[in-house]
Amino acid sequence: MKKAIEISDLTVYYRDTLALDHVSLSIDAGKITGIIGPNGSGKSTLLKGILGIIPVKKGEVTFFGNSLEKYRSKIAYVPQRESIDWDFPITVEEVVAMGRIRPKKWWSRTTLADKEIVKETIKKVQLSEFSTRQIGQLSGGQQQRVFLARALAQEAELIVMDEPFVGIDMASQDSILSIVQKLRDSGKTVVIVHHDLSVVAQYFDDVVLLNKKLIASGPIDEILKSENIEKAYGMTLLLNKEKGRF
Amino acid sequence: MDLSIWIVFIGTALIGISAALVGTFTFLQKKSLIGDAISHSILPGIVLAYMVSGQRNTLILMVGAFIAGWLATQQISWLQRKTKLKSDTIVAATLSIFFALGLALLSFIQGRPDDGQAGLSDFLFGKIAALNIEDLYLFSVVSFLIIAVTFFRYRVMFSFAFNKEFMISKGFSLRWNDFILNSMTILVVAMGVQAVGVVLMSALLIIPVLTARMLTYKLSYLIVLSLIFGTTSSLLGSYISILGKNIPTGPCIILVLSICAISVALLSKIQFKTGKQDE
Repeated sequence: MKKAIEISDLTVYYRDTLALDHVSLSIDAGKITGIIGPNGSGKSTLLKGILGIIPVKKGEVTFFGNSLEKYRSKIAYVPQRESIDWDFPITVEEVVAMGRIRPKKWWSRTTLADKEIVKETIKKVQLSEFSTRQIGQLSGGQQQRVFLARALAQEAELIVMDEPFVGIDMASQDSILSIVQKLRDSGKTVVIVHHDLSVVAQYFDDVVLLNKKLIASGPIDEILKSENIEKAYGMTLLLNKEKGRF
Repeated sequence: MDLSIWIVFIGTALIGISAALVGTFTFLQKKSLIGDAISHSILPGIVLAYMVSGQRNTLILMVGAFIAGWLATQQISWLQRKTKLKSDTIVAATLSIFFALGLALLSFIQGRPDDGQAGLSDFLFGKIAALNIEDLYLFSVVSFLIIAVTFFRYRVMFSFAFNKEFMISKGFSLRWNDFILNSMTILVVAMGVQAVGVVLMSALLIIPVLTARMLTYKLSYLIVLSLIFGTTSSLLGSYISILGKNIPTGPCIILVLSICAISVALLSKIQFKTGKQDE
């Protein structure tokens, strides 16, 4: 299986606090991989660390065998919703258009082709009628779809999402999931940070269990064993595999 | 009207335009307080530039202002990286230290017999009537620079203000973006203190955009409305200050601006504009 991301010995500190402790793992291409762990287990830190958003103390990361600098243009990052200022004066189409900004250009302007892509992606996430709305005026599920649309507009090969299912209703979760599954079926790799164990099995192909250290990683059936869960969450849970709920 | 009146009006308009543009982006980046820190911090730079050169040449004073403003922003970002202090604490402390130094230097040279007509205390509250034609050339160059940078970079600056983590993930440099915005702020403050003075300069950056924000949530309108509020208030304020002879320009401009802001606030019920109200 081709590897989308290979991480070796990643160590990250937040000032003096150890956030990630010598984490080595790999993520398969063409799958939906969940990064699971309790709050404060370093899931978001892992994403930010590998994408160069926060400094890392130590470690190597490659994307399809390339360095981050080489591969960056093919990665789309969807941030956590708490990091967004929902009162910011920006409209749905302006957020999605951010996906088309390219660095190393002295004049960043939107081409006609960019505008067409923005319009198409907004349609794909069914937000066309809200294009000119300020983002604070949308429901949680719609807001999350706006950021998914921005990632789609990047036409990336690797989509990295930080807690996309937090604070939105089941219907919105399903509609986001179906878009993500379509992405996977067309050959893209999707990595999703997720803290809630209850729906893991139906969402992800592979999982990475994390709690500052790597607990386990691999296909979902192999990994979701109670001893792994206990190590990650520090408690015993009964796993009902049929539903993927605990 | 004679030439000097035209100089005053054109100079004021250039300050109003540049301040409104830069202010829009510092406001969006939630760095309004940095504008205040920079404007207070440039005072020692201006006074030292005058002491070293021995003349009140706007270009030399602006160079001094730029160095002091740059040192202040470096100190702020260095402390933010190296300590656990909150941002507002760092900014407030930096502002006071630089301003105190500036005031001390100012009283030192004013005690000297050769000070004569240097009029450096005008930098505290602003005196637009002191502008001459050379100043105007310099202002035109600085304003042109600011307008050009804004034109070519507004999308990047706007996107950074909204979601900097995303921009970093795309390979944009946060430090470069901060450097450009800080430099523009320092330049516009160094220029604007002639009219408004260091004490009130940050108001000229903030109030136009916050007035505009009450009327729109669209970036293009936000910029246009800030420009309108900033420029007309600057012109009107400096006109009143010339009529009134002894009233400093700064307070006049800021009072006119504030009246605009309060009227708009009352009309729009102090709400920031969002999409739903259009329907």
